[in-house]
Amino acid sequence: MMNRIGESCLIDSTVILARFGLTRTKVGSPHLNLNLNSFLSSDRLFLPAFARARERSQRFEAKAVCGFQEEEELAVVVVEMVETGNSSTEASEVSGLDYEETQLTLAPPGTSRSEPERKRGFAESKAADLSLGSTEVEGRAGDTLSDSSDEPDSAAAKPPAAKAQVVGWPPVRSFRRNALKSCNYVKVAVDGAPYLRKVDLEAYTGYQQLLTALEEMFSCFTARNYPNERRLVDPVNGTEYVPTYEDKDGDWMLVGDVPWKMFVASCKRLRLMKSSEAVNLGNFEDTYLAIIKIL
Amino acid sequence: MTYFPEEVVEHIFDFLGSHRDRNTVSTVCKAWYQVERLSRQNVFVGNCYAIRPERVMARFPRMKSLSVKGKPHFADFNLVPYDWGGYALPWIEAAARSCAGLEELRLKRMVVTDDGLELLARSFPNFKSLVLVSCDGFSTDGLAAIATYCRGLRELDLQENEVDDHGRQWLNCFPDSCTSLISLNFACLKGEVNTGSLERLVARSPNLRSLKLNRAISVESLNKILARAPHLVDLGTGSFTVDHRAEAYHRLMNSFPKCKSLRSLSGFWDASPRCLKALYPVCINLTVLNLSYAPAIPGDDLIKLICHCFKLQKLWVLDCIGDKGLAVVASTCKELQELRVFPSDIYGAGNTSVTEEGLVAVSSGCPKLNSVLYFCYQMTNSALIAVAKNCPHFIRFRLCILDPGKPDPLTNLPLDEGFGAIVRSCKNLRRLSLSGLLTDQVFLYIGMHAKCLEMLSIAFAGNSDKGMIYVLDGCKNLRKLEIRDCPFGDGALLKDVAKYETMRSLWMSSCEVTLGGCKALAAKMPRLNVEIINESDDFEESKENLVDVHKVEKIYVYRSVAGPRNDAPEFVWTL
Repeated sequence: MMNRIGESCLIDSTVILARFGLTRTKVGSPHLNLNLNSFLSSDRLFLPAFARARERSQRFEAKAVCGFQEEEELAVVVVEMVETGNSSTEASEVSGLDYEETQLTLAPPGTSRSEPERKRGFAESKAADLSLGSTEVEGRAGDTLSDSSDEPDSAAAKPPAAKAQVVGWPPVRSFRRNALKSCNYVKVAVDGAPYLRKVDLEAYTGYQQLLTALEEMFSCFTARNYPNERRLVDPVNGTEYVPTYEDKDGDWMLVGDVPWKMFVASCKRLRLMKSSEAVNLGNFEDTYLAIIKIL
Repeated sequence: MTYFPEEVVEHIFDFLGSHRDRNTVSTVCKAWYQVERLSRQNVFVGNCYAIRPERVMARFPRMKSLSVKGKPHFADFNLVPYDWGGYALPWIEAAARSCAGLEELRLKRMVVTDDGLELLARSFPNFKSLVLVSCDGFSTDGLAAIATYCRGLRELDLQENEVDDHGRQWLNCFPDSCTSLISLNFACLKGEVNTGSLERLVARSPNLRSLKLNRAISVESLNKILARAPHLVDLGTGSFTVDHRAEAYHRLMNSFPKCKSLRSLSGFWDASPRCLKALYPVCINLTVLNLSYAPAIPGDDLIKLICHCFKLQKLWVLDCIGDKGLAVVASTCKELQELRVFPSDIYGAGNTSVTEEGLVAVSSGCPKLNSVLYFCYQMTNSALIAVAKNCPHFIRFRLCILDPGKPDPLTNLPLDEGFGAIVRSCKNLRRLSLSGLLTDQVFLYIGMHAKCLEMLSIAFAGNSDKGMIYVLDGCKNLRKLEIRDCPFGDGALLKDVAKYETMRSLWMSSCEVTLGGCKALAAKMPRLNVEIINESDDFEESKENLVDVHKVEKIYVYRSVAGPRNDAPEFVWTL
């Protein structure tokens, strides 16, 4: 019986490049297929996800898809492992065919795909996507975190899988494809404003786009750009607003607490909350910092 | 029969329902030809490039209903370039010149422009029905023209078209005097419509039986519409999502029990499970249920709904229903004739998809099942053999295993024997789509048994030319053959070139056919249009230098009495 595990993690891309003898100019495609079977636990690139899988099973085949960030400082590595019985060649065939398993890349490290999605607290989420073995990454990862939560998404859409690149397969009418993937309207409220607006979450690819759209939508706000921060500010009275959302369980959370795709799936409505009132959403100082980093 | 007066012959011809029968009688003698052409009211053109529109209008001047099809079927799956052709305007212009009595126009996979719709709206005083299926090229402005000028319009049916949205005003254009609507379907429109105008239009249309709303229509509007048209038979619900604490939710609960005529439901674009409860009172009457655009409903809620639908004849659903849900369909819907199961996650992991189990369950529980479109994760030979035994009445059998070329997971064998059982058992099979790992053997079976087969779709199958030759040799009724990514080459293409004149069309893409092979076909059969579609740039440059052994990416072959078409874009060469 095969047991396939897809996991993702972030890693310093220079490590990957070095391990495979690549230079940045040679990385023509943003995605690389890596064969991890040759990896040893002593290897610098021995990935945490890989290690966890190894704890569960001694015998496995592993492949990874590696998506580089624009700056190529970080790489999102999606590892797929197939536990094998005896025949390792058979297993590698299977994993080759079933590459779509790797598309479930949005689980935070430490969460295997079979586990149910777990809501993370803010303190946890702040660092969740950074909790890699390689500590050297952590310092600058915060700046690119919003990208990193988007990246697996595009990696999944493009993909490694040969069959996903086949035009017109599966034979589903393009009208149906478009209809099924588009439109997820949620209401947006602003504290103190007497009206609601709607946004289509599917129209955006990440938090940054959504925030930009909210700025445009509520043009009474200006975006105040600090060196590393972005907030919505009412220029008349200087009030700052924090984007929050109600998730599918009815809890109010800060926008940015989970990867984008998970957010899109669970967001029921948005509220731009006065930052003075957002305190009771948790340890405000910490969480707000987390948000700002993500934004 | 020559001594019958023409009126009598004409009267007899009136009893011929099918186009094929009328075609046949018109070939008997000149007199019958004349009687038939002057009395034919319904004209069907299966390929808009097979004949010139002027010729059709000249032959059938008293035509009231015209149906034309444009692009090849594979256009549905993005295999035909965007501006390939299939223009409706020449047909509308020709009809406007010589068939002023036209009342009904049905177009499929054609490019319809706003100019075309405007001309249509102004040219036919008795125009009653416009049906557009999978068309594009027009906007809500064209629809506004139809609404404004077609005073006696009964039917406006827009099915899965790509319509440019120029605002909500088009629906306002139905004049106050327009009270004749029987059917209105704008489900494919993306933008909002003026709900006030819609409610007034519904209120003044006493004959309205079918109304399919688009996603932008809220439950609040739906409630108002249902209050004004409780006699609807066929309803597309609009978004169908509302907070269960809202007043509209409670009104929705009270709206449906009054709609005692409802037989068909679709829409549910954003339906939340809670809202589905509103349908329970009408489920018992439903014969048609389309939940295939409702990705937000979990399998368990689909099951709860379907449990109430004893009379369903046609069910379209997403694969979130699961094998478990299909077992419930099997035990509940004893009248089921048509089942379509679509993939809910086209790009994703497919972890919700259904398997052979669901299909076997439905085939054993629903004895009247005759049409299936089934997207599944896997299929086995033994399952197909069981399905063939349970349901020998299949007319349409379309199976898509999401992973192309996937073998029987139990035995690792090709699915030849399974599909062989289907064609052997289902004597009336007219349409078949294959998928999974298949060798030439399956085509041997198809050629041997599928005598009624009219349309065959093949992808990622076969080993050699033999596969295609078996089909061409054996399937005497074949009209449309579409093939992609199969190792069929010139040998198969040129084996029986006369066959293509008996068919409407042949499509081959990513096969082994060469330019030389296509040229040979075109040379031998002057009444066939052999079109090559080449989108790559290097092809463009080297058009003159191309050698005959060059492999052709896409070839579309069809019979035509019109000769090569004159509206072909640069990347289409007619040989």
